[in-house]
Amino acid sequence: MPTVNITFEDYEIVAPAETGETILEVANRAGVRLASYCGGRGVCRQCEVVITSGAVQPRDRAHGYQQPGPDAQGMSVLACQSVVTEDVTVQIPLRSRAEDFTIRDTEPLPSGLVDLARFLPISALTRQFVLTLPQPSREDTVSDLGRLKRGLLAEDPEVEPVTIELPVLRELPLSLRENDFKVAVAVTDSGPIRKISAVRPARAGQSSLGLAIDVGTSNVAVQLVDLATGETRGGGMRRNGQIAYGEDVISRIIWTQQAAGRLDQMGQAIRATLSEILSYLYNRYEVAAEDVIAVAVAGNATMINFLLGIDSTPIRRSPHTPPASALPVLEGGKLGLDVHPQAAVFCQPAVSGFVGGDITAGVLATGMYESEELSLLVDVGTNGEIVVGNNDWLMAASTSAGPAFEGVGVEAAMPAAAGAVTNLYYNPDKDVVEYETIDNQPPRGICGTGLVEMLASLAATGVIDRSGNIDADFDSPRARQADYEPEFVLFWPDEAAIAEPISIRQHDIDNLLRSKAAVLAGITVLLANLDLAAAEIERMYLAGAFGASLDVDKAVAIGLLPDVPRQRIQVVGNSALAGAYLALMCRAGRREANAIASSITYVDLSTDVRFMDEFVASNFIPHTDLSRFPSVDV
Amino acid sequence: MPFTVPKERWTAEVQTVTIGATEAEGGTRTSTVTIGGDQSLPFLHFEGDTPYGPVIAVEILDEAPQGWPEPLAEHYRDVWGDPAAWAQKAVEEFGADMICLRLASADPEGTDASADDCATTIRSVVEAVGVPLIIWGCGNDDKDNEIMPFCSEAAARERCILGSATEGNYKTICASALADGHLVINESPLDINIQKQVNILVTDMGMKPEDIIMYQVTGGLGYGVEYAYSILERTRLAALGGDRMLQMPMLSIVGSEAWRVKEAWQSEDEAPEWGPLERRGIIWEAATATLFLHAGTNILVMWHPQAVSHVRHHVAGLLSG
Repeated sequence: MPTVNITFEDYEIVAPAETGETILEVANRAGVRLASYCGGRGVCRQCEVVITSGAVQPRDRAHGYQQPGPDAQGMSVLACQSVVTEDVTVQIPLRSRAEDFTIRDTEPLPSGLVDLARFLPISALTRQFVLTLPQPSREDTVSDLGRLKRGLLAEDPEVEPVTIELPVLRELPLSLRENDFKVAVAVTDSGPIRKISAVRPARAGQSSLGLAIDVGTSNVAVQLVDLATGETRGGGMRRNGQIAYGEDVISRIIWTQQAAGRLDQMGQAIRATLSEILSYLYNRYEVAAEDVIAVAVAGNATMINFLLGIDSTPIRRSPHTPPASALPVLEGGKLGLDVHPQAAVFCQPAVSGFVGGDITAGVLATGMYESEELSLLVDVGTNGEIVVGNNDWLMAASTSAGPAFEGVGVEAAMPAAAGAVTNLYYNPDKDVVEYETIDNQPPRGICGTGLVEMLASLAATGVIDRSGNIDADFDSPRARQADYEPEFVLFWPDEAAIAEPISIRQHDIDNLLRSKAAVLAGITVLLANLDLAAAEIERMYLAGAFGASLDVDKAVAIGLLPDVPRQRIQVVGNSALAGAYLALMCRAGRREANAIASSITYVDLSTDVRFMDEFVASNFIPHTDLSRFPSVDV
Repeated sequence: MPFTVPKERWTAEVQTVTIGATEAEGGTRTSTVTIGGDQSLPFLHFEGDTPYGPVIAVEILDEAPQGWPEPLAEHYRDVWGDPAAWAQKAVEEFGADMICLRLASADPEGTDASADDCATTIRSVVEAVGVPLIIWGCGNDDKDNEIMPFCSEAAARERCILGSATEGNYKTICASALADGHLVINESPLDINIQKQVNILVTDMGMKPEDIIMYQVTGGLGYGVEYAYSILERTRLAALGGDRMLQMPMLSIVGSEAWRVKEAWQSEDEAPEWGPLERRGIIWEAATATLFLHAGTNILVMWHPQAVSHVRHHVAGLLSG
């Protein structure tokens, strides 16, 4: 095959390519990361690039498109649909550059949700016992394993019944003798029977560490936890690398079905994401992977399947059953995680194909299953999940909210990190956007909380109407016609220390409105199934892409949440991660998680005739039926 | 045991709306049309009043139509190309209660007539007939936004109905209607929620509910019209149930939709089993209109004079109980 050269101007990279390859394939290989959420099918139209010299061929006529680039320079094409046949030079507009995969520190676990006192005594998934055992002698001829158990029982009689697996037993005699019978023993709580999972030399100051992990469709977050005390050392998060294969679970499942080996590739993508976060945490907190002996993971059923290498096809097809609800305790080494090879891995059990362990974890963390109050948990992620109930019953539903509030597909969005706008208010009199950012840095983008406030503020000032149409004639230079659609400039370059203005476009607003409509419609229809009115909800937990600084008034004003007295609404942050932490630290937490998952009744909204009607009615600010939002000033 | 007819009791009624302004009201119309006020599902006289009954607007185009089947073309060929004459014929010979003038010539993919040309046409039709008018753009948002202010002004104070405001494009037409004292048609893609959303958006612009007519984009008989029926019926039920934002009268496009259906225009050579072409389209249009009447529509926009006369006869029967 003849070889040609692709020059990526903005990166000063010249990449060799074979004729017949797409620009996207070449870019991926060269480390030039392009935005792409559809697996290169020409559907998401994110990977638009400008060919400034040379020419490309369309891969598939139906999808290929060419049009003059900005300022009539070159030709604008989709990288995934453009095949190279000759040397070309490529420019990559800012909006086509990949998601920011930078690792960021997570916010601390939401303190109200991680109260270990609820589950005393603390009993981590894997506990480390540092033992000094008596050497065998004529008077004490008990076996090595017997000696070890005797030592363990002396520390904690509750360890019994305890067993050991062959690989650990094989190493036991040598391990004991090499270390003069001074060893650190890891005992994993894998259900009714405990298991000796590792016997290692006892070192001074040796720590036993664990990980609480939330594998989200869009974002992956990890907390490093001291298993002896429950203290968190720190946490890190970044975008899920699987985003390149589809922005939601359905498109990712489809992608894995399209060619052999893709399920593996999908698994590698999440392992690579986790591996990057872990090496960041290990470096930063000076931790050895060897010392991480327990992991608790929360994620939706598909994310867990991908991590475990299980085919997710049945989740896509009606009746959407997951391959397993409660999973056995697994070994970290077998999952390819950078932890001790025998580290125990607990996965939060799923309720159904679309209500996963992340939600079980959220119910566990909020404690709504123990309360007499009628509570509602809304977790706004790429899927919106809703649980309603109390200590007698729980029902859950899922609604495809899309990742807009997590910032995917919204150009001006970014994760909650330094420079992210959390609170904002457009002041039409002064024509400025007043704002607060994380760490008081100059604004770099808008996080989920800020997106809610932005919608509320633009609607209140008439920049957008109730259908979300941007008024391009609004009396401000910020409202203007962009290339194909109206936009509103939130920050000019001199206001934000940025090269290009930060603006919100019509399709961003449309995406956000559809997301909030899906969430509100899900809540409404789930409650209607139970003959409940929103006003009867005594406590409402808002989890997911929103921080504690969110003004819940704004969430109601745009119709993301039903109109209930504001003091009943509590923004709880990442409840899935909090639940994973509780399961990591407490035996009762793990037991409760399994009980919660099996007690929740799943309601399939996709077969409910009312859902589409409610969705369209909710695709309006705040809702088509204004009488349902009496407290919202309209 | 005597049988008692079960009766629904409704708390609200359809908004009453008057179209057209006489000299006393600042216009030049010789007649006006009042619709709405319905207090029950259509024609259920034992449950509530139907003070005004439905009306029929005959639709005319501002240029000669292309490809009309002969049974339709034969009635209009002598006047098409002259909208004023066409309007006169529709009123004087076919008894139209209103004229619905569609500015087809403005279509940028067709004749691309200018705003001035359209305004001139409107002035000629306003002078030619005394009945109230419905003025409808060409369907291209950008072009309609360009011509509508001129068209509206050309018929200022006549209290016409301007069509149409949609969820994505309503500001220009509302501003024109407000400035010149017209009503506006709020259009929705066969969705009761979107209909209500457009109504809210338009009232947010300052239009009064009694200056709004609702229009769901429906097809003719054979094009899923059962669904259209259910949407119109749900709208009427919402109005009777007291939903202020769904109490406006409804309009249905019948002529152009019915005649689009293959059964209405296919030749007898191609489909001998369907019977004579000269009657098929008429029956199709009348049947479509009847269906919308029973779903609760207040204004029927029709084409064929005989279909108009069949429907008028049917309405008279329904109104007399």
